[in-house]
Amino acid sequence: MSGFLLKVADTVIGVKPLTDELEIMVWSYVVTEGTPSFDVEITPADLEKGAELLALQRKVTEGLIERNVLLFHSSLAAVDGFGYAYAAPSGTGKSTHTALLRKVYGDRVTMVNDDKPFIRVEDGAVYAYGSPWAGKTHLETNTRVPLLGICFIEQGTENKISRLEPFDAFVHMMTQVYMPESKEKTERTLDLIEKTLKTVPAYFMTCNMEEEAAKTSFKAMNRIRFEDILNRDGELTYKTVGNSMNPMLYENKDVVVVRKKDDTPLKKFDVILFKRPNAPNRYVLHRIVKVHDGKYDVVGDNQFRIEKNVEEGQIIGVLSSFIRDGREIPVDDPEYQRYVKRQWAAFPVRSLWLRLKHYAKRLRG
Amino acid sequence: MKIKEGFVKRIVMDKTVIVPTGEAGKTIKGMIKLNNTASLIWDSIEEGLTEEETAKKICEKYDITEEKALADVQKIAQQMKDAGVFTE
Repeated sequence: MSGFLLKVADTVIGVKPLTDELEIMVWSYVVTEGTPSFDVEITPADLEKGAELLALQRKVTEGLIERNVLLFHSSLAAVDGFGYAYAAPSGTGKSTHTALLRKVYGDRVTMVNDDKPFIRVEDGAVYAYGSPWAGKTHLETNTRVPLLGICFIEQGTENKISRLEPFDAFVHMMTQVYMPESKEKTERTLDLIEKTLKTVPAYFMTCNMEEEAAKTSFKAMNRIRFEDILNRDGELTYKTVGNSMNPMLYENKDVVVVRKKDDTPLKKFDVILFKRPNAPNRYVLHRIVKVHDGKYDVVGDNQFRIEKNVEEGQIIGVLSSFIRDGREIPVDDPEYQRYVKRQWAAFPVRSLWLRLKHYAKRLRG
Repeated sequence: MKIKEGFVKRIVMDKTVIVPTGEAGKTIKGMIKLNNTASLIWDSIEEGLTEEETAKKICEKYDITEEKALADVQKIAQQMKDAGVFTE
């Protein structure tokens, strides 16, 4: 049996299987390139404890603890690209709850992992990952999302959700995280749980397994601001809203990766994420077309009105790449750069055209 | 009297707790909070001190009689035994 490379939780792992079937069972996480961070081997003794797939999960999980990753027994759904973990003892209704989320929010929801997602905690950032081990429903996606909230659920007659103090959250979370055999790894796992809960808010909810329950939990957990995520993780990934940046970015289809604004000077054609003073809860992602006296004039690729004099203090992030059809395109990609120049060169004509369209629509009423 | 294999004392979110790990972690789900006295008792038992020696340590730290200290030590030790954390 030749080995293969597995990539989970942003970590490449060398796997030496016992049967050919193993690679097929985890195929959506198999990669052909990369240097393994560590290796695992399935031995006949492992099979005495259970299936090869589970033996692999156990060995991978043990190896990942060293790399700041823990295994969290929860149903993890992403809404608009932000992850929310629903945790409870088996049979309580985690999967039911995330199924309700899918029902209420439709294709805004992605199932990251319905049973045991990996959670990485590093430098204040907390990410959740899909994996090939997704329990009975097999609902998972090979993706990474920032973890914005953890909700411990219990069945009840009323839908009530409240914040959990980090200590109480720790007690709950401890019972749903894989605990390794060795003392060192256990200490490590407990450290990771503590770090997770210092960053990610936790909630306790009684729910009645109806659609209202999903709405209640989501609305309670969805309060984080983009600035908080940027401060925590250094970057922010989300799905485009609106069509002001067509044809580069299409609403609800493309995903943008924004880097936290730092001291690097901004230049013409950078796409910035900023807020307007009169609309503190709205975020705007538009392109700089002129830099002057430390202020920026911006416009969307599909707009004609240039917004003038955006100030340094309004800017929270800069586009570093965007993801279209599974391909990540960084802003220094040459073809993207050519698009940017073409788009700007066509601005006078496009702007006239859009202006005419805009007034024509207004006239029609 | 000793501490059963697998139990560790640590600070979690600024509180002192006992966490069951390894084999112990499979049967006991949860943690036990320790107040200052219990924490001191834990450390003493871990060092191998007897109940009486532990009581003396408590007297050194807190202004109570040896009898009271010993009674406290025995009470907490019994609770730990009942919880499956201490063994004879």
